[in-house]
Amino acid sequence: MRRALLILLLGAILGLLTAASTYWSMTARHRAWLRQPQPELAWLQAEFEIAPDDFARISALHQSYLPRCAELCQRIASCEARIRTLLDQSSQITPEIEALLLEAAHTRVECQKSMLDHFFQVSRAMPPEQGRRYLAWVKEKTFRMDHETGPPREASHGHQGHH
Amino acid sequence: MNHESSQGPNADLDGLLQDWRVDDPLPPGFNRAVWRRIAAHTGPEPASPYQALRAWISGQFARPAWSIGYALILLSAGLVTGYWQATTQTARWDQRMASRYVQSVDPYFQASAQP
Repeated sequence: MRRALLILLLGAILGLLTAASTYWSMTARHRAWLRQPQPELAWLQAEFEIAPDDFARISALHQSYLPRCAELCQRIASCEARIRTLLDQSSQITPEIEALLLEAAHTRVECQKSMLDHFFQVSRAMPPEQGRRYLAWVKEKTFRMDHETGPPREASHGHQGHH
Repeated sequence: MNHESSQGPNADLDGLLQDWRVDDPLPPGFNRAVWRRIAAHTGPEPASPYQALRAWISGQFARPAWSIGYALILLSAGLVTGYWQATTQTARWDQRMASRYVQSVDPYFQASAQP
């Protein structure tokens, strides 16, 4: 019986070690990404098969776009907050509300232009086929009302909606 | 039996044993009594399920083919489990990083996340 128990135990250990080593080796790349300060960029490089030189350009584009993105984000948030405050205090469209709505619309256009410009620059820095795939994916993910995200799909879909 | 016993020091004893005859008759009902005792004998106590399992496991793992098969099954189970877990986890991480990328480049997403 002792021999049988030993075989049972060694078999269980073998199974556990196999499972752990398989998991460990298959997730090694992702775990390395997660240790980086911007894992999303490492993911982008792997997902769209970007060569190191191209990736350096894309990283630079990304870093230069981030302050602009943050500024637009602040303007949108500020505009929406002011509109909300005015709407709480008013029962009809006032000239001030109208001006703010107009400003919000301008900010929206500016935001979309800036975002699209960035996407086009990034796609041009990629190999052509991957660039097209990137554009299709990122447009689908950003030009939607619900901002659902997910890994890129092979086929591009039409826009679901606009901001 | 070997022939040495008939030629060795016990040859006399062998001869005596071969000449030994039991002439006394068996007591009455002897045969019946023997069969009754055999029928009354219940045999060994039935094994509990745990003991039966232990005996079965010991018996099976005494065979090398069984032990090797067991190890191969657990090895395969480990491979499949590790692969499945890793695939599920990497898909989740991919989803999360795709989401992070979109959030980082979409001012509307960031604005909607602000309090």
